[in-house]
Amino acid sequence: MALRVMSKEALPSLVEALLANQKVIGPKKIHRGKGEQYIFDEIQSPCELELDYPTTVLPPKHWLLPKDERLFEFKLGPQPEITPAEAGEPTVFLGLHPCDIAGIRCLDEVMEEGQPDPLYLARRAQLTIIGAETSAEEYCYASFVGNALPDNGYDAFMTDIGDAYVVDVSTDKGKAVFDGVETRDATAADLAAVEEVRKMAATEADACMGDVDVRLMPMAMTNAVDSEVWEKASEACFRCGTCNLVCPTCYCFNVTDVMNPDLETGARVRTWDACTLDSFAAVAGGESFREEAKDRLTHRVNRKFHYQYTKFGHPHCTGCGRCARACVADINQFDAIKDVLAEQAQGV
Amino acid sequence: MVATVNQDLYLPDFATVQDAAMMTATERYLKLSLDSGQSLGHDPGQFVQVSMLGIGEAPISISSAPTSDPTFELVVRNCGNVSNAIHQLEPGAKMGVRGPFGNGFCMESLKGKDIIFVCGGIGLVPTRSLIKDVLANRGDYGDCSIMFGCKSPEERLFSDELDEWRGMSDVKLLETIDRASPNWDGHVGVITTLFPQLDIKSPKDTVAIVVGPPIMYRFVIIECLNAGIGEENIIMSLERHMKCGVGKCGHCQINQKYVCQDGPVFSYAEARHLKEAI
Repeated sequence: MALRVMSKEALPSLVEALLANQKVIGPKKIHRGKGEQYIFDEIQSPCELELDYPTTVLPPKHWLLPKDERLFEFKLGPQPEITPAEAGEPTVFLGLHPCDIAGIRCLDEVMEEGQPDPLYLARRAQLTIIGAETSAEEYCYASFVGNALPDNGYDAFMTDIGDAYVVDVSTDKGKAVFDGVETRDATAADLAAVEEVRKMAATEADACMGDVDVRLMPMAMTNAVDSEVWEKASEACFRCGTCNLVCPTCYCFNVTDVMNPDLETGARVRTWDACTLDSFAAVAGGESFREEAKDRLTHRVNRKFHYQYTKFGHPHCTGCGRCARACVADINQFDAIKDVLAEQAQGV
Repeated sequence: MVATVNQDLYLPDFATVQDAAMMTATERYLKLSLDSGQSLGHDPGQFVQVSMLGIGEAPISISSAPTSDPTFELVVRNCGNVSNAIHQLEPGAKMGVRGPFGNGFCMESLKGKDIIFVCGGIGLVPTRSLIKDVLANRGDYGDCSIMFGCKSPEERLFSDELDEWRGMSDVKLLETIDRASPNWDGHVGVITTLFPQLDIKSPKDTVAIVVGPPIMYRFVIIECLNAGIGEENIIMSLERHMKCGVGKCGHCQINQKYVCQDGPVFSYAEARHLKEAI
């Protein structure tokens, strides 16, 4: 749509303007547990926003797909009553890295296909996504899945060129955000500065990669069903489900009923679930269709690099590396992926 | 972007219990009627998500043949919180219902074929929706054989109907129980031991409808293949625990297939390429 330049000094007033009429979610620094961490949280004042940040512990998906979400409320009785849940309020995600923007694109695809999910879509319709550049970090393999640089899926994208941001305004929603602040047209020098930032980011991201080609994954996963890679990778797995919980594209859920203390009213709630948990594929009577940890790990990687990849034409893994960073057993699923590709290359 | 969004995707409708009775020590029969007065509009082989508000929701096969009235039948084994709550229901009680869901049996592909029903235990429950439909339109199909096996005589389901089918001149009913019992003078042995009694005239025009516990499929499929029945004509209904019924929650996935959308009915030709199927 347009390339604008906003001075860094204008950022606080941009945030203030946004706060006036919507919820602003952005990266924030917190001191908790082991020390300094970055999370996505509601921004109450411009000074809380930390646009230069490493990958957060959790992606921002819980604002679109809450970890406990009421599907409806009910009242018991001879004639039970149901009150549908309402979802969605004007919200802006400010400062999302390309991989987290890609994560939302994946969620959009799965929630829109087949029978669309009304609650997710109600939130999504009121969401504005403003992206920000990222740099390579440990565990990140965004360039493997093509997410090291911003591609699409944002309403506007900000590139830090030192004293200003070059803003790629790509939708009306994005335009509305930047209409309220002073900007100027981007010059050739600004674009060259953006190029420079991107070039550095791409070089750094590629350096973490090695010789692997994601396009081989669907076929490799088909061939690797019985590979020993899965046994080896899942040996240390505690079956805790953390890799699912921190994943920007995992969306599987459980559905339970919760009663209020009055024992008359309650709600049906969906909660995040994890396909790596023992009980995930269990049915009544105790039979489980994915009994071993290796089967569940294979299933998880299949969903990212085979099933969804084939269905939507791109991997449903963003390369953010959160699963590896958060794994208590130090399992890096990207290592397993590289092993599978190496095995295939050797014709195992 | 999105065609149509059903805002009520997760909201149950209500149905009232018309009739309820224990069928065995663990299975309860329920006849229900949708409060909307509309027909459930299901195909044989589909399922509903049953809501017991305050307890939860569970997928349950529809046991009755399609009808134009608002009634339908379920048979529920009590093996969890929701099914235990369903077992407490008496006539007049309300139950939440979403659905019907799933693909159901492809009726068109069965027309003119000889049909062998192979039902193990509560596998008879979903299959009955198809058996009743086939028997109601008997002229549309060729030979009809119904095989039913369960562990003991006490676990027989729809015993009146089994006897009724036994009495039909154009139906061959074969029954067995797994272990000998003093109050059983019929065949004893696992269901595959009934296969020699079948008279398959034209294997390529024969369809086997196989529904039962996971262990049964492996052995019955081999019998069907040995009898010359084509892989695409061995039809199964597979069980998984659907939490949503609409292809989202992920629980019922068999490799890339969602049992709640692509199934629960699969041919062996499809399932044999799915490592997680059987």
